[in-house]
Amino acid sequence: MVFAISMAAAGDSVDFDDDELNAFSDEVAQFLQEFVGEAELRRIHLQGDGHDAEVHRLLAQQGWIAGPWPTAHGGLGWSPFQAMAFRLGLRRGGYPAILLATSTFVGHVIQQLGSDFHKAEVLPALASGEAVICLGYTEPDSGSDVMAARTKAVLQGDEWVIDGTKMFTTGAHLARYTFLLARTDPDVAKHKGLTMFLVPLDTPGITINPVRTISDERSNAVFYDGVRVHDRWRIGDLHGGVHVLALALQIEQGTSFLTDLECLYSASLAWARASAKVEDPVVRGAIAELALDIELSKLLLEQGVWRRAAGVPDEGRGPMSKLFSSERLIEHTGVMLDLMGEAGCLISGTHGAVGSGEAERLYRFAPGTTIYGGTSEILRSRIAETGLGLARSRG
Amino acid sequence: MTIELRPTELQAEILGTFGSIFAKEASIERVRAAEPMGHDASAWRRLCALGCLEVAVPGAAESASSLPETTALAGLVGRHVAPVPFLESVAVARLLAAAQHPALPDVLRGERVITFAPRTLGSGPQVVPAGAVADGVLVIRDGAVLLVTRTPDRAAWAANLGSSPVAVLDLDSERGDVVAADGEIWRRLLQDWRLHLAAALAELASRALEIGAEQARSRKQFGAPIGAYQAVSHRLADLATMVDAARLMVAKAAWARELGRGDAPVLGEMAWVQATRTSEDASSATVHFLGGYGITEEYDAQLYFRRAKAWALLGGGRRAGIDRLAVGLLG
Repeated sequence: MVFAISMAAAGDSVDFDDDELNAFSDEVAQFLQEFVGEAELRRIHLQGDGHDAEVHRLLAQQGWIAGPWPTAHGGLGWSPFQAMAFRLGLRRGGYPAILLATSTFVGHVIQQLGSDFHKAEVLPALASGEAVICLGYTEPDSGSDVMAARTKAVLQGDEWVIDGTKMFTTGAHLARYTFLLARTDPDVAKHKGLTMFLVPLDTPGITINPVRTISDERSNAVFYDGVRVHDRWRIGDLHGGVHVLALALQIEQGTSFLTDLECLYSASLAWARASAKVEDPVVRGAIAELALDIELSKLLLEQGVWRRAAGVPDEGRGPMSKLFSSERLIEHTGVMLDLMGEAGCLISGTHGAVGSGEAERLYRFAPGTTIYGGTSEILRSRIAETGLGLARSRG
Repeated sequence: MTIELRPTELQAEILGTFGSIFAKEASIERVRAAEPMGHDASAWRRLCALGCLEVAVPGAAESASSLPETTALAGLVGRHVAPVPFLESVAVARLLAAAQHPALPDVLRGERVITFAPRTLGSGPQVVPAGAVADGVLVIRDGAVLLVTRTPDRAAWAANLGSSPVAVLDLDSERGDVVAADGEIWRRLLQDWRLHLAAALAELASRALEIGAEQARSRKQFGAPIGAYQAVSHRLADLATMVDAARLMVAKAAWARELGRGDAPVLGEMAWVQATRTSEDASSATVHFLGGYGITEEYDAQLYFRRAKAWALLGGGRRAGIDRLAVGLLG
C-alpha cells in the first residue's frame, strides 16, 4: 500500500520571506537617509544619546512611533512582523532608536495596565513624538537581579516620596518620564514589595549625571532625593511591580543585534575586497561563518516574532534571538579585527582606518549587547527553564 | 505582511504518519540490532512499501510533494538514527527522476538500492555511502553520470565510526550505463544529498539534546538535579539555540531550493555547516552530561554521538562546506 497523501498542498506553505516586509524595512532606512542624511545620522551616533528629538518627531509624523499600537490608542495596528521590519529599517538606516523602543513598549504597558489619566496624559505625547520614556530598573547594586531594587517609595498622603539611585538610565536627560521600579514594602519577599511608577523627570529632587560608555554612548546615573510624585503616577497595583515588569519584559522581547552583524559583514567585505585578502582562505572562512550567523540571527529573530504573532507560547525563543546575535557579535568582531591586523585598531575618521573603522567601533559596542536588556546568563537561564524544563538556578 | 513558520499540513501529515512507523521500524532496539553494519532490510522494505520515496519524486505519487516533505522524512531518519538508506536513495531518486531513468520505479519500491560514489572517478578506492547494500552505484567520469550495476556485497562493508553501511569501492575501471551527459545534474545530486543529511543531522541534534536535557532534569549530584547548575543548564541553553537555528536553517534551505530561488545554493551550504556543527556539539555534550555512562555502549547517547560526526564526514565534512559557502558569497 502506498501512503496516500490526502491533503492538497496548495496555498499552505511555510514562508521565509515577505517582499512587503522587506520593502517596508527599506522604506524606513531610505526615509532616514533622505530626510535626515548620512552626516546628521553620524553626528547623532557620536553624540551617543540613542535618541534625537528632531528625527524622533519626523518619525512620529509618519505615525511610526505608535505603529505597533492598536488603532484605538492612536496606533497603526502593526503586526509583530511589521514592528520588526520597522526596527530593522531604523537600525539599517543608521538611527540608534533606543528611546524610541522604550517609549513604544512602555506605551503598550500603559495601554494594558495604565489608568485613564495615564492614557490621556501620556499616550498622545508619546505618539506625537513630544515625549519619550526611559527605563529605571537597574541600580548600582542590582542589574540581573532586578527584583532586588532598593530605591524606596514611601506614601505620604496621596504622594509618594522616592529616594535612591538608578544606574544606566540611558536617555534620562532627554526623556519626559522614567519607568521606575521602586520598593514600596521592605518587609516582604523581594518580589512582593515592588511597585512601578512613571516619574516625570522634571520633578524637583532628581539629579542626572552622565556616564559615558566605551562605545560612544551616553548613559546616566540618576539620583532621587525626596522626590515627590502623586499616586496617580503609579502604574498597576500597589506592590504589583513584578506583574508590570513581567508584562514589560514580555513586550520588550524580540531584541536582536542582527543589523550590527550585517554592518560588520559589509565592513569586512569592503576591507577584504580592497586589500585582496578576499583570496585568503582564513579570511574567506571567517566571512562565510559571519554570513551564516547573520542568517541564523535573522531566523531566530523571526522565530520569536512568529511565535508572538501566531500566539504560540514563547518557550525561550525570544531570548534565543538576543543571546545568539549578541554573543556572535562579540566573537566575530574579535575575529575580524584580528584578521585586519595593526590597522584594525584605528578609529573611524583616522587616516588609515580599516573598513571605515566599523569593526573597531563594533568591537567596543559588542560587550554591552550581552548585558543590557537581559544579560546572556539571564537569557540562558530562561531558555533552560522555559524551553528545556530545567530547574531554576537563581532565587 | 507576515512570515509563516508553521509546518505545512502536508509536512504535519507526513510527520504524523511516518513518525509512528519510524518509532516502530527504527526503534532504538532495532537500531542496536542492526549494528555494526547499520542496515535493516526489513525496515527499509516497509518504509518503501509505505511510499517514503514516492514522496520524494513529484509526479510519482498522486500528489506532488517534494523537498519540504522529503527533508521532514530525513529529519525522522536523523531523530531515530534509522538504519535505512533513505538519505542516499532520496538524492538518487531525484536524479533518476530528472534524468527520466528507467531504474526509478524499482528504486522507489525499494526493490533496488542505488547509491552514488561522491568523488569523481580516477583516484582509486573511495568511501561509498550505502555501498555495502547497494546493487547500483552512480558515478561521475569525464563529466558524465554513469550507473554501475553490481551485486550487493556485504563483504565490502568497511567498519566505520557511524555504524553505517559504507563500502570502500574501487570503481575506476567499472563499466556503466550513461544516465546523464552533464555534470550539472551531479552537482544537484550532491546538494540534495547534503541537504537531506543536514535535515537528518538537525533532528539528530534535537534528539541528542532531549536526552541531555532529560539527564539534566533527573540526575542528581550534590543534592540537586545537575540542570540546576548553570555550568550545565547554560551549555544546554546554548545548544537549544543552535538546534533551533539548525532546524530553521534547514527548513529555509529546503524552501528556497524547492522554489528554485537564486540564494538556494548559499542557504544549502549554510544549512550544511550549521547542522554539522550543531549535531556534533549537541551529541558530544550529551555524552558528557551522562558522565561515565555516556561513553558506555549500553547507553544510547553514543549512538547519536558517533553518527553525528560520521554522517558529517560522509557528506564531505564541515570545512569543505565553509569553503563552498565562501565561494557562493565571494566568488
